[in-house]
Amino acid sequence: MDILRLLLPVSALLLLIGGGLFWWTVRSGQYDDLDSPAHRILFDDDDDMIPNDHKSKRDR
Amino acid sequence: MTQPCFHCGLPAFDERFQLEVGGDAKVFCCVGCLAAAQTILDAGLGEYYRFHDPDQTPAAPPVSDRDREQLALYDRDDVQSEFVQRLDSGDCQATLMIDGVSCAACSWLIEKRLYQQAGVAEARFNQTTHRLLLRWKPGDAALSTLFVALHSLGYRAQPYQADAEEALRQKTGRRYLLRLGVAGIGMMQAMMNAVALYSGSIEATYVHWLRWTSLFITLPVVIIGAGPYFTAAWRALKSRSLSMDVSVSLAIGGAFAASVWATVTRQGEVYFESVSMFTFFLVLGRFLEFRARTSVHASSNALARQLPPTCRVRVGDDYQQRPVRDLVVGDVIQVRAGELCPVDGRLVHGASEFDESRLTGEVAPQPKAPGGNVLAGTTNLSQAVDIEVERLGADSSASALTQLLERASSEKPRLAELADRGARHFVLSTLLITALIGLAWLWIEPDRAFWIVISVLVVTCPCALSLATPTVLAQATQSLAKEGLIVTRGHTLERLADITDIAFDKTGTLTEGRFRLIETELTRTAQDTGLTNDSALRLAAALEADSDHPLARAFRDAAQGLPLPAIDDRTLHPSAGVSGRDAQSAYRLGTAQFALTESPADAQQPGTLWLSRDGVALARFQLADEIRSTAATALQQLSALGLRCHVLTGDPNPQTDTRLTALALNGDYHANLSAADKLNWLHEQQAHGRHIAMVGDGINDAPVLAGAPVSIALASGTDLAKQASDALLLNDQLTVLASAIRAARKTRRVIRQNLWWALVYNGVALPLAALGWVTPWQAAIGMSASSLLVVLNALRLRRLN
Repeated sequence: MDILRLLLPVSALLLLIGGGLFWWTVRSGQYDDLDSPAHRILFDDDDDMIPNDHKSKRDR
Repeated sequence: MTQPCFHCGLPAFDERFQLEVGGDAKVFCCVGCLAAAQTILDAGLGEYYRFHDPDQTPAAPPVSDRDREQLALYDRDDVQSEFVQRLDSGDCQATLMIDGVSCAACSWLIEKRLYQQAGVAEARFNQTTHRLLLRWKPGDAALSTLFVALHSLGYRAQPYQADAEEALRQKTGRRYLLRLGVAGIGMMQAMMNAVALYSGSIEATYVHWLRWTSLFITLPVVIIGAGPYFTAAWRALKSRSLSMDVSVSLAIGGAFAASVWATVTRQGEVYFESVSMFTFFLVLGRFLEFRARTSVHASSNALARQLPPTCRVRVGDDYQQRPVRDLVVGDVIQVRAGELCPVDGRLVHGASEFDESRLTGEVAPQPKAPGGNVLAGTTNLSQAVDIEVERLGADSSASALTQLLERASSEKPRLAELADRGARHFVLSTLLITALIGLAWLWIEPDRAFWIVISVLVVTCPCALSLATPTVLAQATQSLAKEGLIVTRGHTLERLADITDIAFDKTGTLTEGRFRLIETELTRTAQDTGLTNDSALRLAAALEADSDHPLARAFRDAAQGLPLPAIDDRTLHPSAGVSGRDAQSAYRLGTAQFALTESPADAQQPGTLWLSRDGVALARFQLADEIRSTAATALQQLSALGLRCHVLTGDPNPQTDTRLTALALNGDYHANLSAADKLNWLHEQQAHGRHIAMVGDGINDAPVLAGAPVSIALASGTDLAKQASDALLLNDQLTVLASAIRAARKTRRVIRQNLWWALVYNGVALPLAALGWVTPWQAAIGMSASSLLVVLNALRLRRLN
């Protein structure tokens, strides 16, 4: 049970770090737009980034 | 059979708007959509159609030369200084507000298209706020070309500047998130500690160790998460009133103080996990409500922002472009055809017609001759005129309307207060009862008194009660947003459930607000000379090619894509028509008196234009402002819900519009109403105990929208109307109104169930706690369970119908 004496402060410290990081993400506006990034990832417009795509090479 | 428009998904009635896409012919509903689709395909962005949600708003009409001319104003330094920031890197940065965005694919399209433009360094579109952050190299790109690029995709853009209200909204949103996060993290850790504590197999020293850790974890939750409740409660107490915040703060503060006391004195129970969980749920409910309310809100600029930033001032015999804010009373300015007049003034030279629909709601152009008054915010339709400035800025008619609007909105909060009264009674009675119980126990058994008071406070804690309303409202608001109705104020849904009457503005609300050619009839003479409907239309469109008149636009739209015959000497005759000639003969298009040498008997129909060659009638065109396709169904559904539907219009014709008689209008029809008349009508009806919802779109509707218990603006409406309203209809589908009212009634039902449950729970738990049969931890479990039930009940609103 002695381990509790160590674990509790450690968890408190981790909480503090987590809370601090959370505060930073909120402050830097990372939650301001929760809709667009979720959709943006789904658009297949990265053809030109796929190395072996001949069509896109021709376009460039 | 009508097909849906390939671009926007609305029914496409006109088969001439076609385009070949990937080998198939696709139909479009209007020129705007056709042009936008053409631009998109030409730019190689056809991928857009794979992702786009076809249930959206039609594209804005294509960019005309006049638009380009106006957008070129944005290249001027004095105009840019208002909204463009110059960055240290030499780039420029601006935030634009984009209209007409409806789905995720739009944001992809906007960004892609802008990156294709030379000089664009960054384009980031925020789909929640409909704002575009644009960074570009001023040397490589003119700002106006970027505007044109957006406009040709069918989106309207305007410069955006955050005002104080907007900045505050963003700050509030972030603060909510922070509070929610802190409460959430604290709740999880406090719960873990609580599990260890409740397991009971821990030595006494560790118990204190765990309690102290819990205390430090809960401290930020109480200070950051619940802090605003304490300040709100303090404010309420200072103003000698009671709000939900008072009892919420008492419960949180009391339970926390008691737990701290127990931790320090090493006796009694601790309830840190209940405190943080309660805080978390409370913040979550309020945050969801806040987010739903502000997810899309009308852009913040009122009429002043729509007025042109510069104008042409007469200096001697010449004209100079100058910023409007430098004008003084007595200056003479020139307003060209198609321009908005920036000031109130008197016409001193020239004659023209002005579109005053933005102020009065009347679509028919008003003729103006020298000496006539011209109002700020009206559009010059026919030709350039000189106007002497009489009233500027704050004194002008545009801001007089704004003031009327402000007055009407300030009358509102009194109604909102009524809703709070019930909660106040509840809070007051629980506090009194708790005090009485506390006193009684002090007399019977002083040792237990404190813990019993805490039990009673926790048990009767209005947790379920205070969650009952906001969670339901948040869920209903979100479900409605999915249907296209954005609720912008908290009390809208409650009021919508009580509505007995619904009043519509006519032009732009029940109708589409723009003229369309609905019928062409050739005369005998025309048929004999081999003229066809098509060639008559081409002639008319060629005659109207210069004009910005709404009727002229109808001809140009109808003849879009057809080759036009060459017409010279085009002249506009205000409130009569246009004339012009080709090599052989003179043509006239306009009213019967103007176009024909001898008028037929039935010539005086509204919306009828005649085309003549050398005074001989060739064709009769019937134009009309079309009724929205969803109007009939919507009105039927609304009357089926037991509502009376009225029409209030600025239209001077007192007779009921014949096209409206076919609709299920079971209320009044009032024509020729000014903004103030509409507000008076509203007050009159309210005096008779009617609850009225107002649906409108124009600036003239803004005061009545602000004054009505519930007001709904169409997204295509003016900014001022949108700002004044409680809800915004995004997709212009009037049928959503009926489902909104059904949803509001269901919302009210669920809220009542929730409140009823909360009261029953409190009614049962309170006596038990008062008798000392409930320990605080049992009270906490009961409280959480009742809150959970309330939240689950609210989730039923996920499905509206």
